[in-house]
Amino acid sequence: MKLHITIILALCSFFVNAQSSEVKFGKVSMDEVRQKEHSLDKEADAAILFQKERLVYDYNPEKGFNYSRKVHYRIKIYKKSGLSWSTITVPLRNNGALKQKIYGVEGLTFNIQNNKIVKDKLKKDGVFTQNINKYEDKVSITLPNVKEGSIIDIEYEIASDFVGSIAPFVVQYGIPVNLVDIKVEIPEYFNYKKNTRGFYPVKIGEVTEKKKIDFQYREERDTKAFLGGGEQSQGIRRGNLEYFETDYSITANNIPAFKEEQYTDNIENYRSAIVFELESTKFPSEGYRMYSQTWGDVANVIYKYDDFGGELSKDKVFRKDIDILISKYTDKAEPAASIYNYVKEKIVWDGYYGFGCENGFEKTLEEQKGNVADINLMLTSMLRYAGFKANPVLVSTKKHGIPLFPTTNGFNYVIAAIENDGDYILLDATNNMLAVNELPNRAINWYGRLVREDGTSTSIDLSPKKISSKTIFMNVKLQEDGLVNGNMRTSLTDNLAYDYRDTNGSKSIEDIKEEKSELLTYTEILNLEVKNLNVPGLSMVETISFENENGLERIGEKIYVDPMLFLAIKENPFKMEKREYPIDFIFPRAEKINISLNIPEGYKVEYLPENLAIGLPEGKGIYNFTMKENGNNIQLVSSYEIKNAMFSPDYYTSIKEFYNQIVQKQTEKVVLTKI
Amino acid sequence: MRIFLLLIFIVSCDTISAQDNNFSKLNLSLLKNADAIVRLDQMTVDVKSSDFMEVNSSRIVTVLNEEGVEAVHAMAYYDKETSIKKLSLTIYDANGKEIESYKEKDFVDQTATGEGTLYSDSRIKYLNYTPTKYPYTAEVITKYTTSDTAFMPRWYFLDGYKVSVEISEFTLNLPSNLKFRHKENNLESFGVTGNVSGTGVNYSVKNIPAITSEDLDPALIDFAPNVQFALEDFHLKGVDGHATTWKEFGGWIYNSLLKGRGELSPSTIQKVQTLVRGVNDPKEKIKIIYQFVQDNTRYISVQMGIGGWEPISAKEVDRVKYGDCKGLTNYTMSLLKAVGVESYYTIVSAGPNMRSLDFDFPSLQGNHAFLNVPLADEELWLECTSQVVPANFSGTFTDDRYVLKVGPNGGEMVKSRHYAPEQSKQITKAKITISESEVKARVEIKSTGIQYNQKYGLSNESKEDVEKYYKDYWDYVNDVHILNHSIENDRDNIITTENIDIITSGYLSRAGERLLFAPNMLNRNEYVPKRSKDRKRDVVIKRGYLDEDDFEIIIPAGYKIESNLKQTKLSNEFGEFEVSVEQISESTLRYKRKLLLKPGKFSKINYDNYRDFRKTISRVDASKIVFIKK
Repeated sequence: MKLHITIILALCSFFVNAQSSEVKFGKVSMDEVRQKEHSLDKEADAAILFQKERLVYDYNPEKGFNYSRKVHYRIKIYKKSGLSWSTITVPLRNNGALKQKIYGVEGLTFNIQNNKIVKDKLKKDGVFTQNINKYEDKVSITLPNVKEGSIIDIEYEIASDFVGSIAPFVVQYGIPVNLVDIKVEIPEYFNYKKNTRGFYPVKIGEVTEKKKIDFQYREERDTKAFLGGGEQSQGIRRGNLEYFETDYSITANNIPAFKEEQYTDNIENYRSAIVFELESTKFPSEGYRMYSQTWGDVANVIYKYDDFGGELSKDKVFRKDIDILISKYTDKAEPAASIYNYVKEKIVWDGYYGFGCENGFEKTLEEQKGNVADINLMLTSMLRYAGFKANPVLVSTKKHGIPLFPTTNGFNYVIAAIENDGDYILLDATNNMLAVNELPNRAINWYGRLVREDGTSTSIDLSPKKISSKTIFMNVKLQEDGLVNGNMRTSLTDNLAYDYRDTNGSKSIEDIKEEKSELLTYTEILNLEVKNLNVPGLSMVETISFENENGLERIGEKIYVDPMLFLAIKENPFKMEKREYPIDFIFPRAEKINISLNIPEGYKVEYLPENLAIGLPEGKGIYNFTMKENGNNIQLVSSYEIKNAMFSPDYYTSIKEFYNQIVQKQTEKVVLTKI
Repeated sequence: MRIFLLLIFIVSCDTISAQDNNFSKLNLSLLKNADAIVRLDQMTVDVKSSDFMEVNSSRIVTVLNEEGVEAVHAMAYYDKETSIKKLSLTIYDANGKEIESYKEKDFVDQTATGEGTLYSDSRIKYLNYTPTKYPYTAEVITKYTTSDTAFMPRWYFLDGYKVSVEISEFTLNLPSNLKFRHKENNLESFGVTGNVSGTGVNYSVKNIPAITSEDLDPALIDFAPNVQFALEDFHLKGVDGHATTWKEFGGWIYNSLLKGRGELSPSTIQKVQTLVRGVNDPKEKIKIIYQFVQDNTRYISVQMGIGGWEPISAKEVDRVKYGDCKGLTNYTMSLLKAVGVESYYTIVSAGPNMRSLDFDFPSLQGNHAFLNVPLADEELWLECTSQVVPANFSGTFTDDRYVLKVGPNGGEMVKSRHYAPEQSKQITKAKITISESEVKARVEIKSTGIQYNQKYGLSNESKEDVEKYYKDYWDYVNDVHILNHSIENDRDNIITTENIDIITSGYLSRAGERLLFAPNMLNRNEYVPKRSKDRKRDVVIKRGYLDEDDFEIIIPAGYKIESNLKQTKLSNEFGEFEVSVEQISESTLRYKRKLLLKPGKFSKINYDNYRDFRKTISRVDASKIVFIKK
């Protein structure tokens, strides 16, 4: 977009009431530079002493509103490992029409030399702009002369045309943050919802003020001003704009370093930040435009998008095919599965997300591929055409995080649902190996929003209610010489079956056998068969026969046996002493292992591990272990169940101990002696 | 399933042959172990002058399954010197019918830089096609021109595992006044036909079956057939060069890229001279200067034009106190010169897989620079991009390989630091106290050589990360708690000493009256190479090491030994392994273990022996002592 107007002057009154802060760019105290370690976190390799951000909207008669976000970081480097904090990278968005630009980049490094503070200034050669792709540039700012003990001040301003989108104000990093001072001034034309993420207290103040912007511009061609009038004087126009604005002031102190932990759904859900999401706009020229308010509103807004609700009605393109498909059924319920299979088999997911169609139904059918919405909205539409009460369900994937508040940005995925007497059947046709009511792990994230044609919507729990189960029967023959022969039959249902299919579905039996064999150091798989590998929905059965050379150890006259062989959980997955974030098991699960051990001729059982029955609080998990002797045979049953998909961190200690006992029990030995 | 696929295949290749008579009947052996078949890989390099060449290639790949998609190579790199003239992708279905076609504008254009780099000229255009069915065939046509003739393409048709090649053809044309060198690698037994003359070469090969990867095998490029090329007069980012030997090549780098970039301001020279005043031992001087560099500079990555090859000047680094490997190496070299120590800028192919620069094919190679400092009776190596590595320590990034030392007298190929297994040593001493319910251990671990490489970083980690490290290190010890830990990093002697106190209530297994205890609680080696039925290639052990363990074990009160570990003593071409447990008093045992692993290249018939050796180690390390109630 080329500018035909040169702005001569833009007088704004934005900073008039801004509180003058005590921290000023370029002025640091001797104490700060001398500081050797962080007062609260002695291990911190660097710290953000101060983070200041000012976001203000500006008005330009040609382009309308834009905003500027001015950022000042003061960073202290304590250790050499913290030197990477002397480079700051700033991503800039760009979609062709709208852009973000950086300007006013300033940087100073402070060091102590001969008891004096010495400054080094950032020069142009320390600022690098790299074009990443057509949507993004990356600006890296790296400061000179930074070493252990240095303090750096970095300041820059981003001018953004993306008026309806404000990147989150992140206030928690891998290093501690001492003081945060953020001000955001939003004109009345924009209505944002705001929310805080994370666990640390952040104060948000809010006042409404009256604002006025004066502007002048030279006109080089006829332009239609967006707002207000103005008087003509020799090609120079003068205008002003008066409005109310809401000023938010966000402050926080002493936010500790952000620690990453394993087994979380998405770690970014727990990083402290303040998030702004556009709810509505109200311009004098356009009137009120709602983006979102409640989840219901969001659903309604999305439904009206052409690539969503609009596409849903385009059933012309597939009518003929579906007519043929359903003509052979007399029972009205049956065709649902066959339509679902039809879409799964015919259309391949191209790997792209989104709740809006990228290709549209027609192109999707023609090319036989599409994004998530192309596939699942078309599925919804086909089901509707066949007479089912089918509706789309908006979803936020695990990677996309928990949708904090009702905005269109909260979602990035869509699945289909059939309503049936107050119950819902969920369908996702993006993967050939999925079955009715099975969702891939990426889509099992909190709640989705079901949207109906009439604009009503309902919240849908995406966690599978059905427990995925694994049932194993294993027969083992122990031989005196140490060799162990056995066979094992494993059946998997629901998401456990899907995981297996997703990993192995496209492989040959030989490859599955090979890969499984390689994982087991001391066990060689002699034969492997899989039933229902490519038949989603049915329970999947794997049968192997094997030879193991490490299941028993002869010490003196006795034989010590690992009764669970390679099935024992040998390591507790939960190792850290404490935990701050929820624990994600993705879906509830149950495992039952039945083992029959045939002991060698001439030996008798001297010792069997004792039975064990333990549980998690409130019966949310149980583990049972029993062993009994039966002539030449030993029967072992080990079963556990985790009834919830997600646990709050309060359960961490119990879960860790639960697994400790399981590991302990499963690695206990059976002792055999010669008769 | 397999047979069905075969049928499709025969049909499909027939159809393609009908379209394009370059295709012969598909040799069925190409399907074995293959995720994709390169039907045709054709490249023509036309060198017009020492600073201009045009490269045309066409690549047709039949993709058999998901894993094979990456063999398509629908991409092209470019930068300021290299421009893409043609780039297209055409997709055919199993019957050879064209179903999609993409032009250059459909390709994604983005930086070819990794996360850590602040800026780089290098860019890529690529297209990720989503197949709807397998098999399908993709045809990629590319054409680029470049002035960077220093980078001659290699004929390297077997560039991945599980990909077979039906036809590969390579042609190089050049004017007779331009001289070139070439080197054929591993061509024997592949049936390559070729023709080399003064004005170019052409090679072709047919029906090369797919190969699969194996544990501990040589790097693919070391056994895959390929031919390298280089021009005697070449051009790089606007700079002319001439070289036929490493000596000349090094001379070119020195004169064109380094010379004149080492000047320092008088005040900096004075500063470092003051630092070493009164110090006569050159080794001491080097340490002081190196420490000065480590305390005052940091590493950043910027690759701009010739800057990808030429260091930023020492003066510039001195001002901003940061630089990339070339800038920091050149800066350190200048500082050393200022205090009277000669050192050499050295080019290396860095990375843990120990790649040497090609000893007998001088050309633009390597991806990293570091510093070589020859003294009267030894040679020091300085890694200038790290703020924490001790002077004269080479880790797995640069150890034991051919590198190019550059100086006013030209280049010289030398071997970088090699650590003998005995130098890469870890000594673990511990006192282990067992009670009926728990096991406590007080542990001391000393590490040197390559084993130091894995440890020195720990001294900069947070308490939490160090605890996590130990919990992973002893992952076979259930419910282990780290009570105390400290690490001393002796940078002068290049040795770390760790002291750790641990406790666990999950390590003993009980069996009625008995307690089972595996005495190797602190240095268990569990690695066993994958099972292999039909080993194809040599066994390569890159680095050796020596572990010595000495644990004093206090028997639980009220228990006695029912059965002890048998002594193990093994010695073979792969190393030595010894374990013994001796009762030194009624309540005390002494566990001693020695594991020496030797580096080496062993013929393929030794694979099972090596695996057995590792299996024995793993088994003995997990064996248990049985205590019984008195």
